[in-house]
Formats: sequence, structure tokens, C-alpha cells
Amino acid sequence: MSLFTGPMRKHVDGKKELTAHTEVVKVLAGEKVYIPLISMGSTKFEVLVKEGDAVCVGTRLAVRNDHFTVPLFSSVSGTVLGIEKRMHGSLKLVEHIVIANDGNYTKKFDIEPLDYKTATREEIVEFMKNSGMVGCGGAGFPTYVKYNPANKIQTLIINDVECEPYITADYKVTEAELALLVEGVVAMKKACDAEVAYIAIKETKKDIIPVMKEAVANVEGVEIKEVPDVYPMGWERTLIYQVTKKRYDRLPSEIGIVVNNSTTALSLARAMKTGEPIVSKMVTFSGEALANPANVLVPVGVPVGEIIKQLGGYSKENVHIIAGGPMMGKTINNDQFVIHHAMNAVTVLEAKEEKEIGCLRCGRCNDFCPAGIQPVRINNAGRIKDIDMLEKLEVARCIECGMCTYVCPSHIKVTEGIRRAKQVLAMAPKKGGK
Amino acid sequence: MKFKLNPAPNYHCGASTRKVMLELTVCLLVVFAFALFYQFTAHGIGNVIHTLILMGSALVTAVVCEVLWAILVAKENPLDYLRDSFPWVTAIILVLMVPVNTQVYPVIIGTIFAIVVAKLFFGGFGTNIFNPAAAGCAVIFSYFATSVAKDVVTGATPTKTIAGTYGWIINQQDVLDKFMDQFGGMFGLLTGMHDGALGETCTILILVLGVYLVVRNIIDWRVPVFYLGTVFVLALIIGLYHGAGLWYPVFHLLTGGVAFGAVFMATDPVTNPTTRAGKIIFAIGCGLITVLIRVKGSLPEGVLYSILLMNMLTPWIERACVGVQYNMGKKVMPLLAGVVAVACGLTFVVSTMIAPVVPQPPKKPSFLSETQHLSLADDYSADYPAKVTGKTKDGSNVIYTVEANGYAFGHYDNAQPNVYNVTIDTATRTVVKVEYVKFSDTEYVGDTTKDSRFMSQFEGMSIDSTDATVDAVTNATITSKSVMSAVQAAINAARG
Ligand code: SF4
Ligand code: SF4
Repeated sequence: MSLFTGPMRKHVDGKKELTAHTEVVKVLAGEKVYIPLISMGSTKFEVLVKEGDAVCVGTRLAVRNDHFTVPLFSSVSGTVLGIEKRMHGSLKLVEHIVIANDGNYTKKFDIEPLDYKTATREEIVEFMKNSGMVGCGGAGFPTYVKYNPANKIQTLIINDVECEPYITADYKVTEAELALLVEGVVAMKKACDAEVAYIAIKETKKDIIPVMKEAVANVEGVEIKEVPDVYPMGWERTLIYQVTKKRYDRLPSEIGIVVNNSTTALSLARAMKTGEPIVSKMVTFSGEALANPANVLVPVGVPVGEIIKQLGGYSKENVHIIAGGPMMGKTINNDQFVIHHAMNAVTVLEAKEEKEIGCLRCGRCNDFCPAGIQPVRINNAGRIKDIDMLEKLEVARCIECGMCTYVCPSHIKVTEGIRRAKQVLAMAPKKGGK
Repeated sequence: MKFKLNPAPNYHCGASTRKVMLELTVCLLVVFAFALFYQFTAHGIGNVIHTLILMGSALVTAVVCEVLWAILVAKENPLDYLRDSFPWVTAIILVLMVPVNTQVYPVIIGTIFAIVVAKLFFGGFGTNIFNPAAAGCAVIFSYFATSVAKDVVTGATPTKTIAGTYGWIINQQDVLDKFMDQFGGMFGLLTGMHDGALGETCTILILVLGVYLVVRNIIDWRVPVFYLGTVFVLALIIGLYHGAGLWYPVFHLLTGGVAFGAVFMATDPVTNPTTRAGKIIFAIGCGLITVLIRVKGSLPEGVLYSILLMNMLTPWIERACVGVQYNMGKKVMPLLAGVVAVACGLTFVVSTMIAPVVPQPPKKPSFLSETQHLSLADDYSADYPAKVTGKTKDGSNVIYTVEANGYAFGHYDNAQPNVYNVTIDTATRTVVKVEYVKFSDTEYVGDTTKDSRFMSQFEGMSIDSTDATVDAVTNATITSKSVMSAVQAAINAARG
């Protein structure tokens, strides 16, 4: 415990038992799938198919064409029906490419496999870009960007922590395809020329740790790192601090570190082997308001409502349906949003109203904020629009992890206050006028 | 099927301010229970009843104030308002801070001030700047300190005694032993079996509860630890300067409201800075002010005022502790070092300004005055006219009978002079003795001059001396002067 800071992290009840040991349910697509044209909030895409085109599993449909390149692929075989605006898991109206599913799942991959053992570093990075690898922990950051050869990297950290409550998708994937994961890690390690790769996993996952240790026993430079079961251990900053005891200003590459999600590594290995891009996802459907929580293996583009129906439906009348886990995922006002390629969970909880009371000024939000900022004061400064103070309090560092609301004994929606404060700051005239 | 929107996160740790306040309330009630137990064993059931009445009136007052506020000002359901405003905590703390012989009406006024002025006027729970209980107590101590309940028994308290009798420092072992024995020594102070404010005496109980509250994450350990630590170190400095032993800082920790204040009042989150660095500065400040007020203000209790003063500085501390907390160390360290240096420096300066007081037993005034000296050089005949009325010879001795006016003149009707026989040996030219023939002044006062301790002073006085002196009788200086005037008249006659 430090004198001036709190723990900056906290054990949260993970509720992992709801889905960790249930069978994975394979869900097939219905008559139509909808591929959302969005990547990390950007909707600038060049569409490569038109209405009536026949597509297979793995056909390239569109490419993000702003400062990042992210291709999207079809998850079923069938016919392109056109483009439709629908609600997306980010709570935005987004264009989706609609494909009529012929039910055959005919595969024809547009990307060539690559043997990472013989390929050069640059070739692997190029492959990451062409195969549309994105962070599978929820955010969907394009993987190739982190492997820019200009960065000097010593350490690769593979994030298998899965600190959001309820989610067990990474665990299930790791359990099912451990060998493939290790191959992906080795390929990534080569791609960034790191000296050592750590696969970080919670120390509480006792059953899988020995198996993983065995799997990397003969792989040079790859180690398993057990980390404490606290939130948000899966956040880059917290994880890097845990593993290396180092802090950085903006990007981990400043201190020679790359972090990638384990499912991303695994998807990369699969794509390299067979040419199959991310066309289906392991998604945790969990929460007390679901009749049968389970992990689901499902093609990208299937509406969440269809999947929940196949799982046996809801068990409560008033629910929050959340794209992602309960800490960071957004609630959506219907269940027609689709599974997209960076998604790993849908959480359904019973909706309850909690009365907010006066701030006790207890400072718990400060103590546990993983970014080390002062949520209570940001919230207050945001309310009175104290721009100067907001800047001094470095509100921009907030990652909206939800911790401040989670710990607040007065049930204040602190995280939402921080979001509001960010907007206040964004809308304020910049210093220096004009 | 309804899908409800709610900003993330949709998960909660389950802690609630209500539960926190409930636990705090229980801890305070434990302290109160000890207070009842002590009052019963030390002073009997009368004190217990009075204590219960005090607590009852404070609680009722606090609740009534808030209910009225809820209805008239906040326009909310009073029950809901009460549930999230926790007035009883303030009431309980306030009662625990006052001595048992406090009357009921000051407690009611103090509670009204605490709740209405210090809390509700500032916007209610969470926005008040001053610790309400401390503010209420300050009112009681400032305006009603002298109004004590008559039928309630209480005794000397350690802090009042050391402040009033010893000037807050003792450096002699025998004085210390005598002082400590009144309160059962250090062990007595630790276990609280002595008089003091109702809830402040049992240090050990308070500390145990403090540890519990820290473990339960209800208070931050930094506040009590730095508060008590500061008091200890600063008292140690004073103690060392004056050659008092280690007992001295320990005494500071064990007495008065220090432990109670550090655990239950300085930790009040509402009136604390929100950052951990800020809380540390706050606590050090409280410790410093407590010690300074104690030894220099010679008040028995600095705790209350130290908390109120630091409450005032809280916004300033907050401003100093802004930014990313893991970078705070660098930022706050110089400030903290400054605060510590100032605290130690000030305390050292103050130590040089205080001195131990060793109480002396009150001296009985001596029979003969130490200040009133009667001299032959002075002429007393003007104020106390004297005349020789007779003269008898006996060998070389001559006995002069002298009438001299005394106290009676100017005070009584029909005043009569005193009459003396002054015997003078004409061979050795010295006074042999002086005796009363007739006493006319106030009985039991002036007649103390008949005492040989006074009269014998004239024996052997040379009649040729011009400046021989005698001491007057302390309680009878005027009659003494009457005697002196008679002696002067006789001497003048003898000189011829
Ligand atoms: S949401 Fe932001 S301010 Fe709140 S705890 Fe997380 S990082 Fe800190
Ligand atoms: S946790 Fe809640 S009550 Fe405590 S300081 Fe933060 S906002 Fe206030």
C-alpha cells in the first residue's frame, strides 16, 4: 500500500462460475446476417461488394479506409442483399451489409496462409493488416498498428486476464485451442521482435494454469505470468504495471512493450494456418436475467436476440442488455444489435433502480481509480463546468472502466459524471483563444 | 420484455453509505455504553440517568431539526430525508464530547447549532464544511462552560488538572506521581476509569474501535495515525526540552479528546480532503494545532478547535493535491516536509515559552506583617496622639503610663484611647517592657497586639535610637501603630 495512492484496483465478484464450466453452444446464423461497417467508432469504409453478389465464408466485403486499414469478411455463404442502417452494439446507428445466408457455409478465403516460421517480421505485420486482425478484448484496435517495426520492443504481453465480470470467452477459447494460442504468441513475438512474451492469466484460474505452463514449457521466450484477480487487471496500464512495475505516459511502446489479447493471438494463428479471418466468435452470454447463461460460438453478424432465443430466452421482465461486460459495456434499448468481430460478451442483468445520495467525499473512487485520477473532484468540477480544474485533474486519462461508480457507497454515477466532464472539456474553447 | 438504458457500469460492489453509517453508529454506541458503565461505577445511577437524558435530548433535537428542514425547506419526505442524512451520528458524537455535568439546555442549543447552522445551512449531508458535532461542541464550551448541572457528580479531569494546576508540563518525579495517582496512573488513563468528557476517556476502547473501522474500510488509517503521531512527536519535543520523560507524549495521547477526535471526528470524510495525500496533511495540521492550543492556549482541549480550523483549510489542501495520484508523492512531498518543519519549529519555540508550575500549599499569613514595619524614625503621634499621664520610679526603672489613640477613633462612637505602661531602664537607657493597662480597640482584632510575639520586639530598644523598627501585627496594623505611638511618647519623656 502506498502512502499517497490507493490500491488503484479491486477484486470484483467475477460471476465466472455462471459460464466457465458449461458446454459451449454452437449457434448457426439465421436467414440473414448483418456485417456492421464500423471499427473503433469509425464508419469510413469502402464497400467491395454490391447487391446480388454471391459471397462465401471469408470473402472480403469492405475495408476501412481512413488512417487505419481494417478489412471485413463475410461470415456465411450466400447473396448480398444490400446495406441497411441498424442499431449497433456501440449504441449508434450504423450501416450493415446484409447477406442472405444459404446455410452451406461454403468457405473460400481471400487471404493466403503464411508460415510465420519462415516469414519475415514485416510479412507477419502485413498479414495482420490484410487479415483484419483486431483486438478481441472488446475495443477492436487494429493489431498491425502496434507492431510498427519502428518501435523497439522488449516485451510482449498476451492478455488472457479477462477481468470484466461474467465474461469467460477467452478462457473457453484458451482451454479449447491452447496449442494454436501458443503458435499465435510465437508469431506475434516474432512480429515485434520482443525478447520475451508473457501470457498473463489470473492466478485464480487454477485448473488451466498447469496445462498452460506445460504447453509453453519447451517454447523459448514464452512464459506464463499469474496475476491477481482484480479489476481492471486486463487494462494495459494496470497489467503492464503488474508485470513490469513500470508506468508510461501515453503508449506502452514508449517503454518497449506491446500488449495483445489472447483471442487475437489465437485468431492470428488460425488465419496464418488456413487463411480464415475472424468470421465467428466465442461470445459469453451471461447474467442473472438469462435463462441459460453459456458461451456461444457464433458467426459474426447474427443479431443478439436470435441467439438469446436459442439459449432459452430471458428470465426477468425488466433487463439491462449490455454489449460487453457489466463494467464497461453499454446498455442497448433492444436486442437486435449483432455480434461483431471485436465482441466477446453480452451480459443481461435485471434492471434495478438505486437511489443516489449525497457524496460522502469518502475518496473511495480516488483510491480505486486505475488511472490514478480523482473521479469525485472531476465529477464536481464537471458539474460546475470548471474547465481549468478539469484540465488540472487530467480527466482525459479516464478509460471509463466504471470502477468509480462500482465502488461509490452513495450510489453516485461517477463514471457518467466523468463522461459528462470530458464533454464539457471538449466543448470548451481552447486555451489561447480562437 | 423491457430493455432499460443505464450508463455503464451496471455493476456495483454492494457497499452503501447507509451501511457505513450504521457501523459507525454502532461503534459510537459502544463508546457510549462504556460512558454509562463508568458513570454508574464511579458516581452512581443519578449520573447514568442524566447521561441518558443528555443523549435523548440531543437525538430528539437533531431528528426534529432535520424533519422540520425536510418539510419546510427541502420539501422532501422527512423519513427518506432522515435516512440519507444521518443526523444521529452528529448528536451522538456531540454528547460524547461533553462532560457529564453539562446541563440539558446547552446540549440542545449545541445540537441545533450543529445540525441547522453547521450542516443544513451548508447544504446538508456531504456539503458541510465544518464537522457539525465539533461546531456544536464549540458553541457549548464557549457559551455554557460554566453552567453545570448541580445534582451530577464529577471530579477533576486529567487535562483540566494539568492545564490549570501545572501549566501543561511537569518535570519533577514527585509532582508527577502525585498528579498521576489521581487518575490511576498511565493504566488508569488507558482504560478510562477517570472523569473527562463522556466518551473520550477510554483510550484503549477507542483505539480498538478505530482499528475495526480501518479494517472495515470505513475510515482511512492515515488520519488517526498521522494525527496521533504528530501529537506524540510534538509532545516529545516539548517533553525533551523540559526534561520530562517519555510519559509526557504518552500522556498527551491518552488524555482529553485526542484519541476520540482522531478516530471519530478528524476522520469524518465529508469535512476531509478527498485525496490520501490531503488527508495526511489534514491530520498533521490537526495534531499541531491540538498541541499548540493545549500548551500555549492553556486550554484543556485543543482537539475540537484543531478540527474546526483544519476544516477551514480543507479547500486549500484540496487545491494543493490536484492531479494524478501516483505522481502526487513528488508534488506533495515538499509541502509535507514544509508542514512538518513548521510544526516542529513552532512547537520548539512554544516549548521555550512555557514553564512548569509547581503548586505550593497556600501559605497562612504570618502573625507579624512582612511589609508593615514601624520605625522610630516615623512620627505616629500625628495620627495616633499619645500623652504620658503618669510616671512611677522603681530603682533605675521608670514606668510611664501612656494614653494613645487607636483604631476606635474614627470608627466607634465614644472612642477611648488605649492605655499602656512602658517601662524604661534609665541606667541602660533601654525599653524593658510594654504592657496594656486598658484596651479600647476592636476585640479579637486589635487585642492581638497583646501577644508577646509583638510586644517582645520593644524589649531592649535603645531610647537613643532614631530608627529602631518593629513589625506590626498583620491583622492589627492600626492598633500596632497606637502601641508604637505610646512607646515613642514614653521614650521622648525618658530622654528628658
Ligand atoms: S471510469 Fe475513469 S475516473 Fe472512473 S475509475 Fe475508471 S478510469 Fe477512473
Ligand atoms: S466514492 Fe462516491 S461518495 Fe465516495 S468520494 Fe467518490 S463519489 Fe463521493
